[in-house]
Amino acid sequence: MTFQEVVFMIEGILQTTGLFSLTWKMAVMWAISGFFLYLAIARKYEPLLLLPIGFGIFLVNFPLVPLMGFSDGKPHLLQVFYSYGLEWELIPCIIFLGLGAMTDFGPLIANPKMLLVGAGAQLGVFVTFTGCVLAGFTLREAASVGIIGGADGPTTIYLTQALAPHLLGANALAAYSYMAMVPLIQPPIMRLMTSDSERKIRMKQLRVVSQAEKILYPIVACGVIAILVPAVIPLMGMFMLGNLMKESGVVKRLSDTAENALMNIVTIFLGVSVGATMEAEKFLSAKPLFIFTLGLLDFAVCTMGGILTVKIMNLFLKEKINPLIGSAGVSAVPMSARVSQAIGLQADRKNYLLMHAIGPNLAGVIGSAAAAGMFIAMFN
Amino acid sequence: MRKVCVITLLFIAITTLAYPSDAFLGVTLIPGATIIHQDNQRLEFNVNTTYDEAVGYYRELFKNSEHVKITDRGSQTYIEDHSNRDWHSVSISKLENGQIKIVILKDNWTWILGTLVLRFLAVFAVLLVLYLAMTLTGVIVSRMVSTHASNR
Repeated sequence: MTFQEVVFMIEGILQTTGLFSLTWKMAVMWAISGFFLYLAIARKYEPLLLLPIGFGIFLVNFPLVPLMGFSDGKPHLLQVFYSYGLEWELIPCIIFLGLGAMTDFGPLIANPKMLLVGAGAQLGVFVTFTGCVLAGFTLREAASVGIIGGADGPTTIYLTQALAPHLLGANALAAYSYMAMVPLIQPPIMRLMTSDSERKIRMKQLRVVSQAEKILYPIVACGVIAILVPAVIPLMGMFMLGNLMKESGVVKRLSDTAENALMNIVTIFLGVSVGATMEAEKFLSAKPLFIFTLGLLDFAVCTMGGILTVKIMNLFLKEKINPLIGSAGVSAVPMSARVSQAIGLQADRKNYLLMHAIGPNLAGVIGSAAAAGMFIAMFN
Repeated sequence: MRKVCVITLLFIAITTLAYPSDAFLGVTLIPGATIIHQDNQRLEFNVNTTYDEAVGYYRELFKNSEHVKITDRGSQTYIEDHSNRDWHSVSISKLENGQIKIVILKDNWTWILGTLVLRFLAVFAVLLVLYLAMTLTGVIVSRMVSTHASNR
């Protein structure tokens, strides 16, 4: 073997590594990945999702890695997760099944008026839609970005996959990032929009809800939603099924699996698949930056919408509602309800708002799904 | 003043060049169309083809266009753009006298804001219906529970 042949051989081996195909854009994506890993690990912001998302971003931003795409017609590992989990819209629905099995609708059943707060808190979704159209997004893209303010990850993913799949990574990341930052985003808006006396309003203790009502609720809610917003029934149907399994008490094994093992498995696939959609070439453009900016505005307006709705309701109600629980109308369960409780306690040390805030919180889940259904119906 | 005139003339020349004379906002008119009304927002015209031919013409025209939704409403076909094109909709209607009328509308904010407000109100409506259903169910179940308790 000549020296020249050895050099060619080494060169050939080096060509199969990623060394010569690295780009600056990949390095930027590593930094972004590092940021989300930092948020998840060091700051513990939504670690269940931000950790796999962050690592997914890191994995796919290396040259020649067979993760997203096809070789000889066969899909790569993350492509399989993405295709079956997200393109087929399987994962968001299974997540909703698990969420349903974890949810106690008691506070909402005890005070169903709170459903209206969940509707009012969707204001930002529609305002952001307008902003996106002004910025030159297509209507489908605008709808998928708008839903970020609903603060509901699976709904955001479901709608984005249906209307603008190319924005999936940016939208999901914006939704989960801002959900994690609810304790930072909401308090200044809540203080700005409420007076000291409003923050001190004490609410009557919620009535006890019977088991029969809890069993009937998912059936009634599912029926109403199926008739009025059929487009979103894959999500809400699974949500209500999970809840019925929990409340009926006859399928403990199933509800236990849905809320624990199944939910955990699916969360891993969801996180890593969302991260895998964020390859440098697709992600580093003006649109994702714009999505992040508008997402913040979206969250703020949704918070305002919820508080305003409570204030309007208070004009007609004898027993006043503490407007601080309006901000929990953005779903972000139970983070935004906890924020309402914390701000309420700052104003009055004996005013416990958590259970009251869970009502609008759950209403927000239904409200954002209804808004998503409206958009899907608009385009399909 | 002269500048304004020059700019206006240039604008007219560019828009004329951008769209052929038998098109409105980029939507081609069916040959032989008789224009009934035209302003910068809207074009209405009649065609002397059958309804199916007119619909077929526009279906073919938008066959490869992305984000164009075509809705069949019996005696009217409504074509709507969901991207950033200059036109918003093309509606093809079969009138009672048998004439085929086509209306092309410019992309406009009235539609976007109108549909958004309506959909926002619709979210309220959905949750209001759910509220009423829950209240009703709550009343029924509470009565059943109290009857059951008193029977004991």
